[in-house]
Amino acid sequence: MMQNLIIEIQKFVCNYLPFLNPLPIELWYILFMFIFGAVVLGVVMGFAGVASYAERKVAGHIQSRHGPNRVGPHGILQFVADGIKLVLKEDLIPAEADKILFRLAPYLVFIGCLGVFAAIPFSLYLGVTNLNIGLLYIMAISSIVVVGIIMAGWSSSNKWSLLGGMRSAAQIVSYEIPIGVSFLTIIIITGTLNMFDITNQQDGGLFRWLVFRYPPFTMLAFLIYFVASVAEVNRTPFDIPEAESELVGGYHTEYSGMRFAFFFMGEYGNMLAVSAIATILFLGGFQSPLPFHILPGDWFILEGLCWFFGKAFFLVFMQMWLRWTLPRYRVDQLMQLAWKVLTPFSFANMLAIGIWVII
Amino acid sequence: MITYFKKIISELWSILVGMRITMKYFLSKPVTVQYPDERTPMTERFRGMIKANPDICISCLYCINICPVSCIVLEGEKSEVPVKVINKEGKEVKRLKTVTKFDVDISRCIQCGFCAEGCPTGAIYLSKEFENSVLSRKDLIYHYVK
Repeated sequence: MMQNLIIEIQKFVCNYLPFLNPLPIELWYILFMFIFGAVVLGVVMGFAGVASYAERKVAGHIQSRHGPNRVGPHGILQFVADGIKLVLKEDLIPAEADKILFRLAPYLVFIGCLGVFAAIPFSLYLGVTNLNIGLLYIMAISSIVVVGIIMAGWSSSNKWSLLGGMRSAAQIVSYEIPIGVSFLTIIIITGTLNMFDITNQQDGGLFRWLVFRYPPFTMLAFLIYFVASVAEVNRTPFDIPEAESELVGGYHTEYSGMRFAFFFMGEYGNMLAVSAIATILFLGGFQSPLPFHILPGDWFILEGLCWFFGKAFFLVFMQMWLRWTLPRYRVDQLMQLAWKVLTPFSFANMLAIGIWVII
Repeated sequence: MITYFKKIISELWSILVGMRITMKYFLSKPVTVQYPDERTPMTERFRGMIKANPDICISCLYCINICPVSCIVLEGEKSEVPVKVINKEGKEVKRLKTVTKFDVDISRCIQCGFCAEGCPTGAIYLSKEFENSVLSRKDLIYHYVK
């Protein structure tokens, strides 16, 4: 699918610029890798900026305030100003820090979130790759974030950072299990790990979405996935790794300037990533909730893009809404929720769906 | 086992209740007043910066004596022709002195309002002004007689 597109684009360009003809097709592949990478990077970074503004605006309105409203109309350029500030800030590395790991950690966190987008279908035919093991790949690559966070906590040689990193590791490893099991329920139903195939199976209206099939078990799986994914991205009410009132800033206490910005973008990118995965697995991905397509033929790509991002942004908004509603969990409550509630429920749920599918 | 399920359901319910409340606030108007652009109305008895009108001052020096922080400097001299001024109650008073110096140091003023309360002619009074930041400290001393 993507290969055909690249070959067609190569033919099209070579028609007008014949001197490019001797270039081997592999070079075109590498070129397109960079282009797709840049596009995804742009989307994620742009989203991180806009989401940080949206978060502050949502927080403001929930607390009966205005939120940022000075830079540009309604403060829309606030995130640009923040970005400039972060770029211009001094890049501090503590004297006692493990320099190599300290420098490496933010990139790992960011790569972990960016890599997820490689397997996500944004719209019809529109995705970076069409992996047949998409779900497994996403599960694997998103675990790199934990490594980055532990690295950051360890290499800062700061007790708060270390505590934050350790808490984060414990939390993410615990919550991977309910997430993995909810993925399994989807795999049982769809019989595939390919994200495009999973989306295509939900074509044809609202009630073909996986969240409405096999009621109430898939709804339960969606709920479990959503709660666990909020914990995965370390957001309130599960933000104990960076609990400001306990741990200063957790694992990114010692980071400043652009390195901090990478953690920041990683966090917001992860928010979009988990929302996108939830959208694809449960809410039909780029499929329309209507039983017909509004735009005909291949123009559905544009419509699908709107549906996909609409659903994903709604889930991101849900995460923000939750954040400003609930107080933070204690560490023991967090572990209790993971091991005593979500894990047994997700296993029972998987069993029930398995039996239903076999029958 | 029943308490376990009961607890889960009650917690989920409490989350929904909380989210409903936050959504209500999210959709309601912010209560913040954007101060320099919009202002709340002043109350009637607001005590702002003190101001003086030396034209009707009779130099009785009451304000100097009552001022707890001595922020007023007032000097007067006998005038050749007595002038009639109208006091607070609306009666005519003879003004035997003219004011030659009337300085108010608002950096020391505590806006207690004693001077304005006791002033027989209402020459010194509390205004509703409160934005009196200046660039140098000596600008805070107001000279009402030039």
